[in-house]
This record gives sequence, C-alpha cells and structure tokens, in this order.
Amino acid sequence: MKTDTETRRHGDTEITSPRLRVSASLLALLISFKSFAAGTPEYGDVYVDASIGDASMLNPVLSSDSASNDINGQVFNGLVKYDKNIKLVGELAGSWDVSANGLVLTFHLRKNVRWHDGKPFTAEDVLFTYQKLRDPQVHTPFGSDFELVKSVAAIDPWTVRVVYAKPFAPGLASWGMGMIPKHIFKDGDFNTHPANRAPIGTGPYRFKEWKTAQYIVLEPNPDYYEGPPYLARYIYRIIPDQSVQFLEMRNQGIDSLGLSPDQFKAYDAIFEHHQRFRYPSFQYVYFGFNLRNPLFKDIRVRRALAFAIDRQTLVQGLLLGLGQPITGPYPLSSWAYNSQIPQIPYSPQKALALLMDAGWRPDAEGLLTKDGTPFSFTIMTNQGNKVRELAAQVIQQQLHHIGMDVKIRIVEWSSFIHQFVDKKNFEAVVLGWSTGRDPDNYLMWHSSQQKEGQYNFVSYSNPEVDRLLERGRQTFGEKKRQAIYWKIHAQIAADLPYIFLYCPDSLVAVHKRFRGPEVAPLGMGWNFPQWYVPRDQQLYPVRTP
Amino acid sequence: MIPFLLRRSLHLIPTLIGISLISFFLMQLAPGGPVDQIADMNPHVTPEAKARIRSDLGLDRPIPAQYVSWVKRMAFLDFGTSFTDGRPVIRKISERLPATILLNILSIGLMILLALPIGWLSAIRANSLFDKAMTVLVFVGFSMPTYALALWLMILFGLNLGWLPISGWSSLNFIEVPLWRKALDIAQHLIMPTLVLGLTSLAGLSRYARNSLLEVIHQDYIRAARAKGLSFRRVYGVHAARNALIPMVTLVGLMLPDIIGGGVIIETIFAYPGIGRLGYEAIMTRDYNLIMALTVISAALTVLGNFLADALYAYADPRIRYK
Repeated sequence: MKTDTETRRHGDTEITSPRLRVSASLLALLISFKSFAAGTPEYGDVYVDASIGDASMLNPVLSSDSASNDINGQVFNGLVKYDKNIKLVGELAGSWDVSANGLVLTFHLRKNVRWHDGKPFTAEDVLFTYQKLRDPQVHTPFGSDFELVKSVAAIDPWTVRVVYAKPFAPGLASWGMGMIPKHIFKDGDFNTHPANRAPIGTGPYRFKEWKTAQYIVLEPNPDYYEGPPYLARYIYRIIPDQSVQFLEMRNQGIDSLGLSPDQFKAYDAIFEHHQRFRYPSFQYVYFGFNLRNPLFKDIRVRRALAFAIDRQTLVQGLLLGLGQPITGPYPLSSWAYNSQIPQIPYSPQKALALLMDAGWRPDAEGLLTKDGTPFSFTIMTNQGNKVRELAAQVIQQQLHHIGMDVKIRIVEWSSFIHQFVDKKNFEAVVLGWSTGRDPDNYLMWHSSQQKEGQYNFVSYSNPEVDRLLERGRQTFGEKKRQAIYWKIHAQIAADLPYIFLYCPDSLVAVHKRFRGPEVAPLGMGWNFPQWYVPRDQQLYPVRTP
Repeated sequence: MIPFLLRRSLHLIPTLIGISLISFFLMQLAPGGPVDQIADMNPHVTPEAKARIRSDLGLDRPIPAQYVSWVKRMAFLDFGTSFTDGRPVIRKISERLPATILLNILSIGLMILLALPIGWLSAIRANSLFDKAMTVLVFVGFSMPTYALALWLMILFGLNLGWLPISGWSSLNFIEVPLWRKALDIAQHLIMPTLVLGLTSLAGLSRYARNSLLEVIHQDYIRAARAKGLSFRRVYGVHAARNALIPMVTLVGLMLPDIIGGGVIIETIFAYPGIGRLGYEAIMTRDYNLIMALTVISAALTVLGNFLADALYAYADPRIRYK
C-alpha cells in the first residue's frame, strides 16, 4: 500500500539520538532481507485496535474466541505459519521434513529463539504443548486436530519428530498452534493457571497489561527472532458497540476496526484519517438442504432452486456489493477454490423447466404441486444474524416467483443447532462456515460424518467425494492437493447439497499514518510486525525503550 | 421495633431459597450450555471431546444433584469458577463492582438531586406552566432510548466539541499519569454515562415526589400551620417536605439493588467495565456459575433493600410498627 503522504515523506529520516542511530543501522540490515516497501521504518507510536468482545484466556491451547486469537497471534508463535499467499512456511521451526510415506514429520527448530522471560525455546516446549493438547484434563477445543498423532519425541533440543498413525496432510498446519512454555506451566492447574492472564510467549509482542473488559496492552519483544517490531505499543480496546467503535474511529481514538458494509460505504469525509481495505473473507454463506427430505432428493429440484436464486441480488442487497457469489465449498481466496466452475446463472425459466421435468406443475394459483401436494418448505436460520435473516427473506421471495411456498423460521442459536440441525429436523437452512486455511473439509462432506452432532448434517453422500476427501488428507504438497480439492469442488458444485451463496468481504479501516498494511490472499496483518509510523506523523509520544 | 424487624427478617429465608430454586432451574431451561459456545459448529471439536469437557465441568450430572452441590458451596460464599476463563466467579464480580457502584451512586445521586426539587416545585405550583413543562420533560427523558441519547451526547461532546472522551473508563495513558490526573480522567469518562442514566430515570421519582407532596399539602395540619402564621417556606420546606419524604424512603430503599446491578445497555454503549456487561456476557456464554452468582447477589440485595425500606419506613412512621 502506498499513499500520497508516503511518497512525500520518503527519505526524510532525521536521526537525532545516538540510540536511534544504532537501531537504524540494525534496521538497514533487517530491511535488506525483508523486501519492505519504500521508506525507512521508524520506531515508536501506538497501534490501537478495537474488538467487540474481551479475550477469555491468553493461552492458545485453551481459547478459540477471536479476541484471544488476536492477542495470542502477537504473543505466541507456532512451529509453522501461513505466509501472505497461504503457503506454509517455517516459524519456530526453521524447516521440516516429511517422510516418504507421509507418516513422520521432523521439525528443525530455530536455535536463537527465547521466551519473553529470557529462557531458551527448545523441543521440550513443543513436547509439552503437545501433551497438554492431548491431556484429557485440559479443556482445549483443539485436541481433535491431533488425534491421528501416534507419538511426538524430542530427538535433540532442536529437533522434534512427530509420527502419525495415518498420513494426515492437514496435520502439518495444525502445528501452527501457538507453542507454550513448559517452565511456566509445569506447576499448578493448567486450566486456571495465572499465566493464562499474563502470557509468556515467543512472539513479536510481549504482554504488558490486561484490564478486564477495557483493554489489553502489548509491548515490543526486543529479543524477537526476526528483530523487534517498530510500533512501541499494541493496544487492544474492548468496545462492545459497533457504532461507538465507529465514532471512536472518527475521533482517532482507535486506529483499526472492522466495518459493516454500510459503514464501509459511508461518506469519504468520515474516513478523513483512515484508509479502507476490503478482501474476501475466509467464510461463506450457503443455503443447505436436508437431503433425506424427499422434496430435495431429486437433483433436478436442487438445480432448479439454484437457477431460481439470484445470488448477485443477494450480494447487492445484503452486502451492498461487498462480497462475491461462489460456486463451491471453499472461500474465494483459498487455493482449493476452483475458479473454472461456472456460476449457475439466474434463470427462473430454466428453473421452471427443470421442475416441470421433475413432475411439478403450477396449479390454478400458480403454486407448484405434484400429486396434489404443494411445493412448500421452511427455511431455518439462527436468531441474531441479521444478514442471514435477510438472505432467507430474499430467497423466500425469489422462490415465490416460481411458485414455491416458502416459510421462514428463526430460532435461537443453541436450540437451532441442538433441536433442529443436529437432529436433522429441518428442511432447509441458511447458514455459514468460517473455514481454516487448510481446505480439508472431510468433516462436512464425508458420508461417515452424519451422526448427531457431526457436521455433514445435510446427509451428503457421494463415494467419489468420500474417496477424494480421504486422498486429500493423505497427500502432501499443495500442487497435488489442489488437483484433488478442485475435483471435490467440481463434484459438490454438481451435486448441489448446498446452494453456495456468497463469500462476504472482510472490511477494515486502518489509520493512514501506518506504513505497511497490505491486502494479500491471507488477508491483512500478515506483516504486522513490520508496520511503522514515520516519526513526524506519530500520534502518541511512546517510544520503544 | 425490634420484634417487628425480627419477624420481618424471618421472611427473608424462604424468599432466598425460592429465588435460588427458580433462578437455577430457569437457567437450566435455557437452551444450550457453556461448552456449546466453543464446540457448536466448530469442526475442531469432536462430539467426544465435547462430552469430556462437559463431564469435567460436572455438567453431565443430574440437575438436582448439581443444584444441591451448588447450594452447599454457596452457603460458604463459594460461587465456583467461571466456565469461560477458569477464574473464581467472586473475583470476576469484585473487579467489576467499583466501576458499577461509582456510576450508579453518581447517577442515582443526580437523579435524586434533580427529581425531588422538580417534584416538589411541580406540586407547589401544580398545573402551572412549570409543572406541565417538567411533566413533558421528565417523560421525554423516560421515553428516550438510552442508547440514542448516549450516541447523541457522544457525537456532540466527544466528536464535535471534543470536550469529553467518547467511551471507556480511562484514557490510554492512564498508567503513566499522576494520581490527580487519574481521578480527573475517570471523572471525565463518567460525565456522559452519569448524565444519560440520571436524566432518563427522572420520571419515576419526580412523579412520586410530586404526588406525595400534593397529598401532604392538602392535609389539615398543613392548613393549620399556615393558619397559625408560619411562613410559606417553613410550612412547605420543612413540615410538608419531611412528611412527603416518607414514601420516598421506600423508593430509595428499593434502589439498593440498582446500585450493584449494572445497566447492560449503558455499559455496553460506553464500553464501561461494569457488572451489567459481565452479566450479559455470562448469559450469552451460558456461564452458569457466574449467572447464578449474579442472580443470587442481586436477588439478595433486592430482598435486603425491601427489608431496609420496611425498617426505615417503620422508623420514620410509627404507625407502621404496630400493624
């Protein structure tokens, strides 16, 4: 990202204090292999982020809420991470090997990494993190990711060998789990350990202060293995109301926040100090059928429904155009998304033709009937998600045009999941998935995953897709896996167990004084430790110690 | 007096037991549980893992058994730990209490300070222009959604004039400034929430104050006092006002739980770190232990407030005691 001001500021680096001169030379060294945007990074200033909710626990093994993830992402490192193009690269493990049969992963850890308290990071910590993930006493939501691991062993202080019972390609990405320090957690109860509120990690920022329900403050880790970040503070403010966040943004009280589509489309004058970014999120919204219901068993009917729903209108109406229609079970920026698959166009005529073909006939009032029963069903969705409720209404109206009688039922989230979705007690749903960066979606589509509480609740079953899902899990290497997932995408797009509606954009505003924000397939913030503010634009008088 | 209070305090026991029963079982009726928050529709969590966490938290035991063990612990003021972060519930509550108590005392103080004079002046000049204007005004306040008023004030004082901070409890440089600046900083953050809470709650008390004074000034002893030549100020300001205060005592006694029970909307809007937000978050995450602790504490305070109001009333009005 390059703004007008940036070009103007380019090159004016006044170095005043001797301490700064030292860091500047160190900096020059860093930049040389960081391939960073124009301008010389300068230290100092504060980055104020905003969140609707407070973090629960600053321990990557225990927490999965987005606020905790935001902080943990700055404080902790995994063995591997995704780079800007969603390729796995080494983080705490400088490199790794996969054995020929795919069963053994060997991680070679970096030797120059220290915990924020100065203790060295070693294979013992990796081993400890793994043990906690598998400990039945530990309330971790991530244990299932490691179920196929047979053993983890430290070969030497900087080599970890992981043996899998079966080859499991998504397993590699699960080692992006933040590593936690053994020497801190070895005594006391893990679930309620005081360090869960005062974390010690290896990441670019270290923990400074947490005022519950108010803010979390991080400061740079001077010992970070890639060099300290430039910003002197990272402050995470908890502001539970979105309109107040917006006011705070206009008042320059916060530097970064997520926007709703209407906020994003507000007058330019409102974004006097902030720049807007948009990029496809790792989510998609779908209209799913209960395939055990006779109404939706016939592929012609599902295809007809796909022709009858105008996804472009949905995106325009619900997201003000800030999203894109999709064709299959992956978010748009995933490498698994097969862009060759054509979008099913909006065509009520084709929809009607297909329905006639399947035996449905409009009656005197224009209502589709077959053997005396009308085409009538209920779309369910959860309460509290306005966009989904509206999506259901637009779909209802569009299907009404071709003579279907559609009702909508909105149910509180927990009852919706437990009484209706889990028990397959529904006809159609509007729901969404937030997906991980790894495309493995075995749990949503494999025919073995249809029991109560599992995620193939639409009861999709296709032996070819089953086989491909299994192969996708056992194949290492993105190119080879991509071919497999593209086939899965094509097959599911043809079978239409869901009508894939759209992938909403992530909408973010960041204060203009920051240099470095850049949208990539991974999203934003992937280069956050390298963000900086030119000295003469710094807003807060906080300097890196 | 003493026997009356004793008799009255015996009523507290069944009331408290009833409250604990109702709130516990009502909560169990709410769909979902604490584990669902992290486990529902999260493909990372297998049903087995979910069941394990549930049993570890003791949530798989029969509900009556859960109730009994919960009551037993609570008898020793042990409210257990929160399901979301494993911290003791009592600590989570106590760290939020000061902010809420401060805001509520200020706003209730502001309300009393404004409502009583408004009510009394309206009563003395009943049906005058002032009375009618005040009636309209307090009801506008009463009908105004707090979030709307709050947002308008934020735009005016925060954004346009820049006089006051928009939200939060303290500024970002809070830990680095001297003590007097800290106090000033918090005071600045308190102005808008106090105003909003105070102004929107004027109606009730000011109407009661007006009616109760109206009732009093039509009594014979007021006419007698006027007839014997006491000044207007003395009759209305002392004799009438004091007697008109008696029903107010009850009302203020009933406000006791309000001091601790935070306002969800006001605290959410102002990003204010109080009890109301804590309770709301606890409900949304089905954090049973925390919800129960908050319900019981606020119920106990309500009961205590009632008791206190009765006691004060009995003290202020001798006629009550002997009934």
